Amino acid sequence: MLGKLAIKNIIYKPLSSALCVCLLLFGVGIISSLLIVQNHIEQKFQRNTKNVDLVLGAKGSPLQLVLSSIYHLDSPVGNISLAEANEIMNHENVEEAIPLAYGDSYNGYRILGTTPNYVEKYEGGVVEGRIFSQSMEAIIGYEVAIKNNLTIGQQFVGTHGEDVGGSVHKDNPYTIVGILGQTNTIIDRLILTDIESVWAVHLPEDGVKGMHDHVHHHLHDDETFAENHDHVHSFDHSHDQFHSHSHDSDGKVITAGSHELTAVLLKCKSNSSALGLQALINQESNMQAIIPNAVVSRLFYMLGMGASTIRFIAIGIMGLAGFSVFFILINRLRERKFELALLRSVGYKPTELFFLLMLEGLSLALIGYILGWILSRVGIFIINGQAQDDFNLKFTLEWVDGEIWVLVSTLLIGCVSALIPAISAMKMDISSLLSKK
Amino acid sequence: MLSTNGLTYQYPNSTLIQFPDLEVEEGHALIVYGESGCGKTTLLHLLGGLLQPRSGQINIDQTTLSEMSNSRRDEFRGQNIGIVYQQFYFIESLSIRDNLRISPFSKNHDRTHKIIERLGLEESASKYPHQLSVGQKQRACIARAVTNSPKLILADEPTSNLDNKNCSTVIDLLMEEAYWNDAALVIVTHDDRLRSEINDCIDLTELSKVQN
Repeated sequence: MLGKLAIKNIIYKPLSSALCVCLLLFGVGIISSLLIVQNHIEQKFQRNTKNVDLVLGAKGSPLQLVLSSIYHLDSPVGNISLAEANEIMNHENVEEAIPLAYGDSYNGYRILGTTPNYVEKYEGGVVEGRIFSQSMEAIIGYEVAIKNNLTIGQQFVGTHGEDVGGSVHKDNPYTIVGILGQTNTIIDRLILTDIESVWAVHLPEDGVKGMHDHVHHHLHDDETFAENHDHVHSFDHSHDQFHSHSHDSDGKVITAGSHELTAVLLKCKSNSSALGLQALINQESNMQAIIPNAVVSRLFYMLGMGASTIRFIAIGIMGLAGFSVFFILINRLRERKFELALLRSVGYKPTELFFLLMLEGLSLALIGYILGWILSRVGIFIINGQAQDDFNLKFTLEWVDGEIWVLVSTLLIGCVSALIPAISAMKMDISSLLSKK
Repeated sequence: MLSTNGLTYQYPNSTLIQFPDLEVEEGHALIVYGESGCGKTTLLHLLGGLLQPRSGQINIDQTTLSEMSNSRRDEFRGQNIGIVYQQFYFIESLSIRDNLRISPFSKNHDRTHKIIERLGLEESASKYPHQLSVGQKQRACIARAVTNSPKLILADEPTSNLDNKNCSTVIDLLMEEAYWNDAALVIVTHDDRLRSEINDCIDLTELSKVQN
């Protein structure tokens, strides 16, 4: 009977109950959505850094190097020479080294020159066809295949740089020889080929806009080159201009020129050997080595501050909801004191009235939580519709780890705000209430 | 059935009230008559176990109510005492039928149904309290007081707002229910009309109030 009474009481005053529920609902909705997004992004980022102890690349922003070489989210910092990179790749501390040479793009999907080890690193496998073995052969990621409707045997040409609609290397078409299975990592969105193919596309003979740079580079003797090199280094934004294609207009598009690499993913024999190698590279070469996990942690720390601001707002809303549950229950108590006295008179004990009010507070909190949970899922569902196309992000609609704490704290808010009304219900003087004329 | 012995009560910072001893047999009725403020309702609340007397004893069916613990008294009241209050108190969010079954000791729904029939509340049963007329509310309150087959029925000014015709209807109803339930009935009132209806009468008007 008490359970029924609690529910009936909540329904009997729909507006005040709705107010409580709405405030809880928005608090829960925001916090749950944040948790999902944060968990997902962190997981996604961590999945991609696994087995990469160091990233070797041109000097510049460490964050940019990590974002570009591991996540393919930013443009590369610059290129490094194969000869210099080789020294590091053959260093005794290195267990595995995977070179990356940035090529062009196809419909916005990056063409990346690398070795078959790259696919293995992401636990990807060719589900159709085979891995590349000759020049101008390419394998494509799961998403690339689906979105572009590409199949084995088809040929395509890269567009210079990353922009859709840039100049096209029409003389050097790639042939698709394999399609990768879905891995939920970055390789789903990549077109992979061997490094020589990337270089071949950008040989000076290909007649594209960057030809001049290449010719310049290949024709100059060492002395002149060194001079130019120094000159270029003094302008950081156009760093490595002579090693790479570079659009005059934005300077952002960097692809690896002949005998150049954009980055190398290194796996070292131990953590200490990784630190030692990092120090060596950073002090004694023109390149830099970055521990991606450290950079990602720092990135999350920075992003986390933004997320915690939203979280504080959501907690504020929850607190407000707690207060409103409290005020509504207190107000209802004033209206209902005769009802509660009547309940005592027909045989309910004070503790049972306490329980009744706690039950009402808890029910409001639970309804708020459930609706908030649904709201967060609806929100994520809508976001998914857009984020999937734009950012390759698909957030889970399932229960996320931290959500149990959202549930617990919501119920706790219900309990705490019902506590004072419940105690006063327990202590009221029924005789004086029931003798009111 | 019901008997009291040397019952006194004192409100904080007020005079001590000494009540005359009462005795009511099962199936019988007693009127406690008195002007407003003479302690009628206090007596009723003492009999119903809503208040604890300062001294004296209340015995109901060989049980001494005044010696029970608070929670035992709540339980005993729920099982054995039906109270009709001066005001019509209902749980507003529940239908009349649920209001009649609100007691934690209400198990016998057949009985509730019979009472609803006997008191002519069939049409009101599924309505909510605010939809009822005064007469219907009065009857519903009486119905609620008797759903648990009480041994003692207490009524506080049940006729004060009623005209002569309804006055006798309500008194008849209460007497009938006391008879049906084999319960003792105590009505406290200042309504002179009831003197003609019930013979057993105690007048509290001359109640001795002793300065503490």
